[in-house]
Amino acid sequence: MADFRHTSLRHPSWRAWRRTRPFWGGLLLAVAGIELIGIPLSGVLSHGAVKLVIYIGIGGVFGVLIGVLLIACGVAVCLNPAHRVFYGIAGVLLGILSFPASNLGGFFVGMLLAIAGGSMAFAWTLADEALDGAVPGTQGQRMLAVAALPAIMLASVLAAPGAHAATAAPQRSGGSCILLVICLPTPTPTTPAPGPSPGASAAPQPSAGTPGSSGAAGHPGKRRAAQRRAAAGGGLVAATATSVITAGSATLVHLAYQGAANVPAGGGGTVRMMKFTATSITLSGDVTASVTQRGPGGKGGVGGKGSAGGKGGAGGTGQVTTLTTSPTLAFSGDVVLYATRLSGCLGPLCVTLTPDNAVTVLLRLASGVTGALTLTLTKVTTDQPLVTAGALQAGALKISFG
Amino acid sequence: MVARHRTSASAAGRVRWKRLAVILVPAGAIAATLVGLTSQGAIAANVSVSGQQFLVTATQLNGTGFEQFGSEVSAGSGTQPVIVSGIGSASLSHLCQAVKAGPLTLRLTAGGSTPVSATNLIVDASSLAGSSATFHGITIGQDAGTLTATPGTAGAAGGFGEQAESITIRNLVQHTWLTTAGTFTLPGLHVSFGGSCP
Repeated sequence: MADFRHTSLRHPSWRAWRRTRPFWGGLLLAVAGIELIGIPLSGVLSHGAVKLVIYIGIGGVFGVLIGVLLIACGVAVCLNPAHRVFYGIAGVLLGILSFPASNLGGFFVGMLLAIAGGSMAFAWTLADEALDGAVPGTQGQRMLAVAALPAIMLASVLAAPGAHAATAAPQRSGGSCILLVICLPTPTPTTPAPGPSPGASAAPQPSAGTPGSSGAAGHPGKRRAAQRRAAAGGGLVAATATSVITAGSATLVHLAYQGAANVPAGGGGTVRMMKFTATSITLSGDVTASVTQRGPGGKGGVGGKGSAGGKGGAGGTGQVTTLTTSPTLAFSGDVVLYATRLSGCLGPLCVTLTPDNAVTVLLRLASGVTGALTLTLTKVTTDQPLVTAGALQAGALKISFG
Repeated sequence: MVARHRTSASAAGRVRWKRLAVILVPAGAIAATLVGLTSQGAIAANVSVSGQQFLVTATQLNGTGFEQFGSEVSAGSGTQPVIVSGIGSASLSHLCQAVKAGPLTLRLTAGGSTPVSATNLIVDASSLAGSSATFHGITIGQDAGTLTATPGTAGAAGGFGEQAESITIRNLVQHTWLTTAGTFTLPGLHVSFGGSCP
């Protein structure tokens, strides 16, 4: 009974609180903000995965910023109804801004909620204010101001595409502007460079992505040459994760064994590998590349901690195997293959090559002969492959987790 | 009663519909203009989605500055291994993206006649398939921590990675957990509810 009286007392006061402020407008603004934040950040918030924030980059940051501001507008307009015109307009503007800046306005939902909520907050008036508003002068002026505002908004929006085109080119090096209002230096998502990076000389590739240069074939020639040089200069770093490529058969054109080489390995040290060169290598017959590595959370590498440790050790799911399958993989154009172990059958004769066994020594002597031949091996297995090639043509490709 | 309200600091109020129209109509017009410009590809949109799995398909993907390595994302109750693909500059034909939003499926298509273009596209996928793929200037087996094809993106040291100067994948089908791009132009943008991607 007491409870009932309590709620019946409370209900009118809650109702009165709502009625004395633009409650519904504020609520819609706050909901819009939560929705806009949720799309880029739900994965982050659920586990505090710092890595995702790095990935999300500027797009996600703007989405979150707009979302936070919308929530602030929604709360503020309820706490301070006197400033509802400001909060209402700010909410509408943020809602419109969210369309280019944050996942198409949270896939439209957040944008529409923000526009509706901001408009309602703006349009909310005290019951007695209507009488004041009837005075022609003030009302007229206010209406004029209100009408001028959308014109300004429209102008800034129309200026945006031009501004975007103008900033598109320098965006990579300089900053980025959204609607000419907010300018920020572009935070090129910097995953902390893990470990020593011997390929540093090849690192910046300025031509990588200029927006709109969808005529992508523009400058590969130059870059390819640069990359070749980098590769020749020892830019290759072998992955230490367990990897195996198997294929029913391999056709090797002009294969030559170049001897054993010590290849730098990820996380420091070197791996002793066999080096082969060939004009082309074509793998066929259920080509499967299997890579087994520990989940990044469980990585103990020097650099691994820097980039993955931020995940709060949430990972450590043990071994993860990635399977890449394709009916054919055709490497061509100065193929260089490094491997720790290679086995296959030439007709009935099956051999296994490792960097220093007897067969390999023979092969080294015979490389003058094999270099002029086309060999076809069957039941081919390659361990720890490290391949560079001018081109790779793959058939139906499927990458999944085994 | 009226008199009391008049003097009271906490007077009741309501939404005036005329006043609502004054701001709602121009705001709606601007929003519609923005949507229109975006669907013509004149304005680039920022896209970053995470925390749920969604389907992405495209009839053709062309990219320059490609790299790929294994990683994992936090998803739901645990972690999910993913294939991270980074593309410095990508163009996608007939892009289709299906996102589950509660009971609804939001289907977003773009790039019918003019392809969608994206810069610094990073996709974390749980599976990836294509009817054919061509890579140029490829390196397979490179340590994931030393990948340089997509500036600013690299995996953990010791991981298995690959990179290529350019890439073409036909009939791409991806189940992804996270998509983010610096800019996304979406010509021919069409959003609908229900259905899925082919």
